[in-house]
Amino acid sequence: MDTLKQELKQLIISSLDLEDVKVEDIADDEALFGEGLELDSIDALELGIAIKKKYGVAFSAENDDNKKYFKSVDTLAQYITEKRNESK
Amino acid sequence: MRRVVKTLAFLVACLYPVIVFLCLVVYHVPTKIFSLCLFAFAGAMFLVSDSHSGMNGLRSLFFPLFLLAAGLCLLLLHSALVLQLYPLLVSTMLFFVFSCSLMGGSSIVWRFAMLGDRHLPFHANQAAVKRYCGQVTKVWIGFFVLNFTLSLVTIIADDASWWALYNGVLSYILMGILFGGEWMVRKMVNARLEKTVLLSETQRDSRPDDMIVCYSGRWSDHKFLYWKDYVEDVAKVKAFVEKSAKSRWILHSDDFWYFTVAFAALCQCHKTICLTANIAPGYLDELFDQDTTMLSDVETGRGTLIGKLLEGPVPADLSWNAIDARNTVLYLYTSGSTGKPKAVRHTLYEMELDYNFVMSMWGTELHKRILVSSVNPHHIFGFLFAALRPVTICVPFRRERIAQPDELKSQTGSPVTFISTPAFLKRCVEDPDLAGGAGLKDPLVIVSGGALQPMEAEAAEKVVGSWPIELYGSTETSGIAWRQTNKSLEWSPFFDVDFRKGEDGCLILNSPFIEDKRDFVTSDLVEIRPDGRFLLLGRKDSVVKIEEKRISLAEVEGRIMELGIAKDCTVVALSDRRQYLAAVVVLNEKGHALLDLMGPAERLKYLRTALARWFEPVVIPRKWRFVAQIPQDSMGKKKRVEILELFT
Repeated sequence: MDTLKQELKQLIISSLDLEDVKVEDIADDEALFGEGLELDSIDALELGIAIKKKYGVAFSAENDDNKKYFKSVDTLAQYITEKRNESK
Repeated sequence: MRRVVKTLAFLVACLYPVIVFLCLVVYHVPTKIFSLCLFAFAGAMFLVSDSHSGMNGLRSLFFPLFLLAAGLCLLLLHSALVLQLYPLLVSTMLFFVFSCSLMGGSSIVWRFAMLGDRHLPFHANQAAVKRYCGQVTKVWIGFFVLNFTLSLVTIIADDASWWALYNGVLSYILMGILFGGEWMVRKMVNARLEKTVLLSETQRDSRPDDMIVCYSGRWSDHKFLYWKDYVEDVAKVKAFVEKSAKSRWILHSDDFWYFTVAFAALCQCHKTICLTANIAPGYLDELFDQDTTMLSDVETGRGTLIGKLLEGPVPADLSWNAIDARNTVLYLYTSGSTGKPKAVRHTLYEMELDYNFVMSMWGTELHKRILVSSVNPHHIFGFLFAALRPVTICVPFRRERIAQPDELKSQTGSPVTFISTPAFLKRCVEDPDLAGGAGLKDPLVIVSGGALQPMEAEAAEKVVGSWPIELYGSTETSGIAWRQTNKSLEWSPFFDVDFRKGEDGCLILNSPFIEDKRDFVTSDLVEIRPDGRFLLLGRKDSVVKIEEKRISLAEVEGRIMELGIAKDCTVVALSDRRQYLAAVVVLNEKGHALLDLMGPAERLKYLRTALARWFEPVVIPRKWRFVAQIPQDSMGKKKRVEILELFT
């Protein structure tokens, strides 16, 4: 799980081209949207695509819960783990 | 004790006739007792009188000595004659003081006026005021003669009650009437002297010949040019222009005297006037045609030098031709978006319209000061405030433009209105010669031509001595609104200017100062407050689109400045993998204190969170550069390429 979180942080930084931000700068439970890094809607789209590429986990376009999953690294990791377990 | 006796002495001196009348005639106080009272009072005054030598000492001894003499006369001769002589002595003394001051050339009334108004020595009409004070002095001398005569009559008539009635009551009433009457006349004379006379209403004798129109160098050099010189020099240029068939005249002169004189002459000859600061040969080629010629203060190879025309003899005909303000057309030039000169048409009528507003807002302040300008008269702001207006409102102006900040140091000693631009004030702030302040006396600073951030205004105040008043306007629109950022960030519109916010967020104007009365759409983004004032958010020109969202870079810059951490900043739109904004910031002290301690990521989060108050995340800059200075060229324009390079 911790490895997954580290990977996710790395993914956020590289796919969103966040300069100045390192893995240790993002806390597991830190809000990604609405405060702090204030990622925007384009970031959400890009992050979704990157996660899909890397983990094969998709975010449905109609799913209203997407916001919940994108809240923090914690929630993302949880969502990905759940989805992977489901498909196993 | 001393003060009590002095106050008492003053009261006794004023009420003197009444006291004498009451004591001797009404209450029949025995003369012995009354004379003893006089001795006692004289003694008290001796004791408290300041033991000056010379004139002051004599003056302070006059009253006790007189009382002593009166007391002796009363005691020994049983006669009140000396007592009754007092009003005569006072009249005689004042008669001599006033007469002597008149012979000395500087009348006593003028000296009193200077005590009351310390701006008087800098008035355009000081000569007329001085003459007026001389007249008033003469009237008072006449009054003293009359007062002396009537007073003498009451003594000769030997009737104590008539004597007391005249000297104690009637004489004071007459004096009051004279004071009141003079005050009313003075108001009328002042109103006439300071009356606004628009250029289009001007006549040869609109002003006294010795009104100061212009000065050269510094005020204390007393190198003045007067109304008489103005009329004569205008006539010289007029005589030349009248002979020419050309109808379009380019006017260029940094010398404000030449400019003002030539402009008045051209208006009288009904010429179309083109004002240009740029006299590069290629630029003039664009402006010239068959029907065009030029008046200037520098050799351009075209047209005529104004200085040459003024060397000629004074024409016999000094009359003024009527100027038709509505049909006097002038063109001002802006660089235009394509770089080609773009002509903006105005009539003299529109240019003169905003006088009422300016005078109602700053008239009193302007009248108290002489005027210097760093803005040349070809720019609309310089033209209105430093060339067209001073003569109109009879404010003496400095002939030479203030070209360098350190020249301000020559303008100390006289209260001054300084017409300038934000860019020039910034240079003043940076000039090490002015580090301790320019030393301007009681200055009024009015700027226009660009935004002056509150922090820049504060820095400027330390150097030029007052918080600048900013005017918002443009070549096309003339004045629109004003503000002083220590009082409010909002702009207060000039009266008569109607405005609203357009669909694209820009300010739309309906102003009498624009010849075409239809809506004028500016490129300035605006936020209108319920009280009718407004905030300017930046230029629409700098609008970019990111993911279909319209974003004003200037607005983002404005909000970054609002965080209070920056001295200056520039926001640019970048697009590599995606489109986004990036900011270059010059931090101020507060910004350094706050951000220097943070790591890069923490800083980024802080800034993005702070700006999220106003913007969606898409708009908030993702990349930040903190620099000591934003790359800009000598004109203060930011260098875009070098700014973009900061992000590669």
